[in-house]
Amino acid sequence: MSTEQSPRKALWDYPWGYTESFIIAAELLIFGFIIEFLTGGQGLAPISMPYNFYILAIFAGVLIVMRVFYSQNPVIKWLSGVPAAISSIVAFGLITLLMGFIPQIETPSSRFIDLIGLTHLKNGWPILLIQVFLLTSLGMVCLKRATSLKLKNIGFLLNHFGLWLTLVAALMGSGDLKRLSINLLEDGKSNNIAISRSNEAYKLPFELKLLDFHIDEYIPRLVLVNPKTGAFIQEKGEKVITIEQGKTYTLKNWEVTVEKFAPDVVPQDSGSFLEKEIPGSYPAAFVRIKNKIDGKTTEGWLGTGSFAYNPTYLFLQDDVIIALTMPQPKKYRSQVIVSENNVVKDTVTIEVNKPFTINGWKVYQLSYDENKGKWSTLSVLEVVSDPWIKIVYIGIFLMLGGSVFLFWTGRQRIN
Amino acid sequence: MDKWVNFPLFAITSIVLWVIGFAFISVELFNNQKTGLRRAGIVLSILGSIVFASFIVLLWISLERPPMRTLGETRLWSTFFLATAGLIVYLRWRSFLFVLVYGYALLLAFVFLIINLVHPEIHEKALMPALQSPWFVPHVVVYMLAYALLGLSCGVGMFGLVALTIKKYDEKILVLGDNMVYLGFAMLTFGLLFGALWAKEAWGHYWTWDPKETWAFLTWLAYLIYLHFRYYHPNKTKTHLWILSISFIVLLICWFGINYLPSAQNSVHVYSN
Repeated sequence: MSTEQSPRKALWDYPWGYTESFIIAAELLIFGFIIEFLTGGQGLAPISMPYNFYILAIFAGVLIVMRVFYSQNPVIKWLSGVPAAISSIVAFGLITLLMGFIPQIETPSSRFIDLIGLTHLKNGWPILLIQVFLLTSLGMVCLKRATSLKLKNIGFLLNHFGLWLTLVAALMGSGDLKRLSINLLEDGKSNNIAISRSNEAYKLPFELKLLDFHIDEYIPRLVLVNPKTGAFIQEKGEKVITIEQGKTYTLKNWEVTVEKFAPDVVPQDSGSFLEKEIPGSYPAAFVRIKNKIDGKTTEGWLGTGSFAYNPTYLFLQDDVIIALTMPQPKKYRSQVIVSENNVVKDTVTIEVNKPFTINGWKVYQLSYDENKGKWSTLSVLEVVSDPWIKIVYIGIFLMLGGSVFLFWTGRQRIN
Repeated sequence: MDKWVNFPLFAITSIVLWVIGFAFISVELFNNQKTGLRRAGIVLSILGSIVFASFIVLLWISLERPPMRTLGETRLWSTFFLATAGLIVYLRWRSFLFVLVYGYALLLAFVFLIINLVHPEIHEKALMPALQSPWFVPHVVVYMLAYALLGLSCGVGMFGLVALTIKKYDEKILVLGDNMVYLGFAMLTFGLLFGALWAKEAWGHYWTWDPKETWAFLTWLAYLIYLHFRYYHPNKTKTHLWILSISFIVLLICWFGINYLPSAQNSVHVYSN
């Protein structure tokens, strides 16, 4: 097909080419920013069931009618062509580029930049109009190719229809997406009140009770710190020391031998440490330190401290202390009893990357009381319901199939 | 034990093997006959890749986690993939042009390697819970493969622009670029979609316009434009070469650049110290 414009063709004479396509895309963008401004610059409230479904049905219906009955109409031809496709991709790219440079915020205020929607592009008018343009063009192309199912067209359709489905489901589904968080305490009580990002309470169709929240931590690191700035004294590329009983490490001019390492200690009034695992206990090590230059030795306890106790460290010099870092979380998980209408359904363990599914809701481990660390009795879970996710997944898998196709056949020779 | 201290030893051994290997191979530039020298060059190049791969494996074992968390760690993979992909591309076509492609791939590989030598990072064993997933390795590996291939295609684009200026352009150049973009784009799509599927498991939603996602999507769109424009307007050579060259800049912003963008300060994708 040829979409090159002949030099004699006047603007807006059919067939439309790149110039007309880019003008239309630019107009849609500008129009989008104007509507955004006129409607108060707060973005669009997404449409939820059943209206999003109706809109999708009408949209798909219109595309099919356009294809079946008006395929010779020059505007429809243009919509199914490459200039419309490329200009809509470029316009989508332009909005994404703005999103990539301008920090995006959740709740816009009344600065000009907020009012025309530049700080919340993902749910504003410009992206909506461009997405409709892109989805129309993509949809028309899919319908055009769907009429003959040759092998070459199958790869084409996997990629194009997969993308269409994913985008449509993501756009329409945003109105039915619920992402809420729920706070559970180790207090033996059930909870079914989750909170949205805009702080509205939502009653879940099931109840959750936290039996146990548990954190596995990494072993603390042995570090030299500048007591004035709090910064680590560390060369780039220097190896990280995770402390281990019986080992000797060299840090700058000091040789540090770890006589004892205890994962849980509590400081006593006498200044000694008691090995005991109670709320507030923390990892500590007894170290012997030798200055390699003057041969002097010191010894003492190093402790990470916790929400209940201060850390313990040793001064090696006026401007150098040796200390243990606060341990980082390795894994955290909640053991939760799930019930529906006060009937216990299941006891489950929820971990980061290992959500739990119930009645179309997914429950994720989100957070905890970071100040208390491993002694947190609070577990924050995220509960998500996204009825359109299956369509998104179908789209994604079609595109994965299309990519395999692309990878396998590579570039078909043209001309 | 932290294996990073041994990095200079492995890195320099690999560089020496690759450089000598490449020097032997490029004898072909002056001599079209098959020589034993070239075969030796191929063997040395393969050895270079094996030495470098051994370092990655040792680092993986010593860290007790995949070395893919920090930018420095991802640079290791791209060094390996670039050097190896360059060699494979050369072995597949074995012509003058591909010796140059291999040389360019090595040059790019060395840039990443030298950054790691000059600015070593602090490597620690800790891997945050969000990264502890079976998706982690495939997500990063396909992306690094894509980056290596698209990096090569950018070199092809720039080479083509030069060739065009000095009127030595040959259609083979863009066909080569196309092959790399098709493979690279397939990998890029895999990376993006694997990321979406993983995000749903880890963060509750498949797409949140996190700055890294935004830039990954832009990168994907840039190559999407190339594929379409190239396919439907096969004769606009100069535009194709420019799109190839510029798209890689978007990719580099996605990979490194976003760490310096004000819009990306809250990204959940920044895992460096």
